[in-house]
Amino acid sequence: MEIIASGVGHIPEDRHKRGLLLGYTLAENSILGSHHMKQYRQGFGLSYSKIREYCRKLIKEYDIRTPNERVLAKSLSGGNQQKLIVAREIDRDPSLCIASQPTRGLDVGAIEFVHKKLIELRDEGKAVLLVSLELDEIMELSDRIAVMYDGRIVGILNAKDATEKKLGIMMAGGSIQDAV
Amino acid sequence: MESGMNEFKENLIKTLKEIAYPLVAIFISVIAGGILVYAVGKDPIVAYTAMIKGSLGDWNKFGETLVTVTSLILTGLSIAFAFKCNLFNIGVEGQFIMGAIAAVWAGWAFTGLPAVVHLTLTLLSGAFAGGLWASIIGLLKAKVGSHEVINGIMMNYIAMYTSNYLVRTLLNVPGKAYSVDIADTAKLWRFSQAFEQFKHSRLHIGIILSLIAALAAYYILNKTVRGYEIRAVGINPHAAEYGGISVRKNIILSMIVSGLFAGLAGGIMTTGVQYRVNNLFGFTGYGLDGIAVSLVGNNHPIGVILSAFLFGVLQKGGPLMQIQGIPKEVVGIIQGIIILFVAANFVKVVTENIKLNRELKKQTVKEEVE
Amino acid sequence: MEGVGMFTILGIIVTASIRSATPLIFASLGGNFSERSGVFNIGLEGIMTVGAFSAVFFSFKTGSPWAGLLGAMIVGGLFGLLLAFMSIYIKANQVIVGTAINILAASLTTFLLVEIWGRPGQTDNVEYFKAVGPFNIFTYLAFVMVFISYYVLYKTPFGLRVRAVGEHPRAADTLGVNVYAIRYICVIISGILAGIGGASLSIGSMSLFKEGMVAGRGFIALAALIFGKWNPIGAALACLFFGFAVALETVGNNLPVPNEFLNALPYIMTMFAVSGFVGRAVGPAAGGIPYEKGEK
Repeated sequence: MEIIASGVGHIPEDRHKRGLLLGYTLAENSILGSHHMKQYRQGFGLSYSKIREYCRKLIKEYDIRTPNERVLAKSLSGGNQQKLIVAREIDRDPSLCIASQPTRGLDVGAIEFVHKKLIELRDEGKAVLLVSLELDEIMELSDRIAVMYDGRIVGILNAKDATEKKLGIMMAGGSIQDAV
Repeated sequence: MESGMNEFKENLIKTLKEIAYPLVAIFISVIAGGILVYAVGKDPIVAYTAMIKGSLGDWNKFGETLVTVTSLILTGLSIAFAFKCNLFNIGVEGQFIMGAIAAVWAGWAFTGLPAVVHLTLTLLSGAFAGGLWASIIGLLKAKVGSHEVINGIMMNYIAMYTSNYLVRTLLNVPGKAYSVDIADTAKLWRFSQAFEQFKHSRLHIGIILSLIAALAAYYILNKTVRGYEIRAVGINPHAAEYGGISVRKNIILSMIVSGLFAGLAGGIMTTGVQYRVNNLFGFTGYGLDGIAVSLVGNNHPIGVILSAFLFGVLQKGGPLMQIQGIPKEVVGIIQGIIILFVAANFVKVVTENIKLNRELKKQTVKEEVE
Repeated sequence: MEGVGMFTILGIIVTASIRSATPLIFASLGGNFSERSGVFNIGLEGIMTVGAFSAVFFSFKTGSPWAGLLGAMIVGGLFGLLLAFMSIYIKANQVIVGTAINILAASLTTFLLVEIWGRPGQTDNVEYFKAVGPFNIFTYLAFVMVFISYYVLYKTPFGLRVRAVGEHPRAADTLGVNVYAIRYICVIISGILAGIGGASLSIGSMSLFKEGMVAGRGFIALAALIFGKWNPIGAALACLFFGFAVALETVGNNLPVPNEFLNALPYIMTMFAVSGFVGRAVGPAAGGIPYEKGEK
């Protein structure tokens, strides 16, 4: 709770296990993590009209393809589920966003969309930590790349210096020196 | 405006779908009960007519049915509330017993209080005892991960023996196998005091209390942050935790609230019907009935009210069936079959399996073509 | 003189403990098979009830207690099959199915009791197993079954498969074990054993069936199973201990603790056991979870 309040957004690796409550509606999912905040309250309770209004905004801005905000999250396609998570985490305006394999299992259009949103966040001056297995994705999006091997960071490169070969050597456990 | 209409339509269809499964289950179970009656050479029509007459035949019978419905609503709510957090509170029986005996104590120990104060105190003692009893199960589940079903069953027996011990010692009437009576100031108002129609029934104001409790449960679950968190934990604890929701805290809390409902059911049984507690040789059965009520009610507070009424009718119709020469256990059998069907979501599973098979076939055909 | 009295009382307590433990042992062995394969069996209580009733029914119809025993096994096995079908094929919540079986069993037996014997309460006396030595045949059979169960579960390939299926069904499936078949077999065995447990009450210690005669023994057996850490020998020892607690009641008036405390003791101890206060009892890892083939 404190972590979220302090401005950390997290797009988890496994969207079904950690990202979404599949048995909840889109609206209910859209406030997960900020559900205790004042803007969704009304008296003692939650204001579902405010929550749904917020969700409609996300659906529009993040182009989530769904009949409405009242359907269950499990009825959405994987790409749209992921868009919902990205929308929720980014719209919370985090100062640090941790994205673990944010495009795993998505189609091309959705991948492009998620990438665009992460870049936008970067451009706003926010920190984005992208964790991914896709080399292309990393090289395309990152400013700096840290390579991990055996639980340790073996080296950090600027993206413009990075080549597939260098990264490859480092991924196998070689140091930056080996790679140069 | 139009979206409002659509929304209404959507909700209506959703609700109808949700009601459809339990209805089919009830229908099948009633048929099965009828076949059983027929198999032993009795007329099922006679049996079911007797059942309806026995439970709804006149105002007094209706009143008695509502007395049962009161307990069923509360124990059903208790089970349903815990179910929403994906906990199976089979310990409702024990919490009911503790609520009943605690209410006897509070109703007997305090004297000279104004009726409103005494009654409130007595009911709260009952609810509190149930909540306390349930909190042990919740704490054990949250802190050491021991299964709530096993602990619940164990605590049912411990409650029964605790109650018997109190009936035999502290609250004993010398030479009797039941406890002292509660003071008049701790008794719930009965309808027979004002309405001629209910003269011979024990119908009391508790039925209203139970309806209020159902609305409260609905509000807590569906309209508050706490309810949002409890249901989130029930759907997927991993995702809930990731969203900053404490799984342990919500497990303990929902067990306590569940126990409060069960304890209140026991307290109302004491203050509205029995005025005392008997030495128990076995369970009261209200806890187990609550499971059936909750399942058929789709674990939804409003559904619980409807299904409590259904089971109330089934149970109170039994004795008249007995008089017609049909064993009243048919009711229990129907109840068991309903639970089997609803719990299994039999209809849904079968239709889904058929669908799945069809899709698989389609896929194979497609692959072959490609 | 006093010494002799002491021994007599001790003898009575020991014999009574073993007698009360007998039905528990069968049921908890039954639970053992089912839960080891990953299916919770809360329905032990109900299966014991139908077992007790069928034993009397078949003994009444044939005049032979052996037929009664066989009938109890068959009907118990059928109820096991019901639980297996619901939890394995339909993938229903096993605890709820068990609860439904308990409710069904109680009502069904009373219903049939009234239909067949024409009155509620209890059946007529039927042929039963008379005591051989201090105990009846069920007690001896129970102890034999403990060792057979132990041998089967721990010393045979079948037992290894059962335990694998209960711990990690996916891994077992990958190695070619038929998870569904193993579970079906185990739950049916569970029903048969619980049926025998019921029969040991109605045509062993008595000669008739009474409403509510199982009186929570199915749940005590479940408790014993957990207390014995899902091991046949441990479960049997726990049953003996719980039997001892019951036997103590017979001389309970001379004890410094209230009778109710003795009654509740098995349940309190079981809670301590599952909660890890006296050596943690951890059940099979996949217990209670329906197995879905090909799920990620």
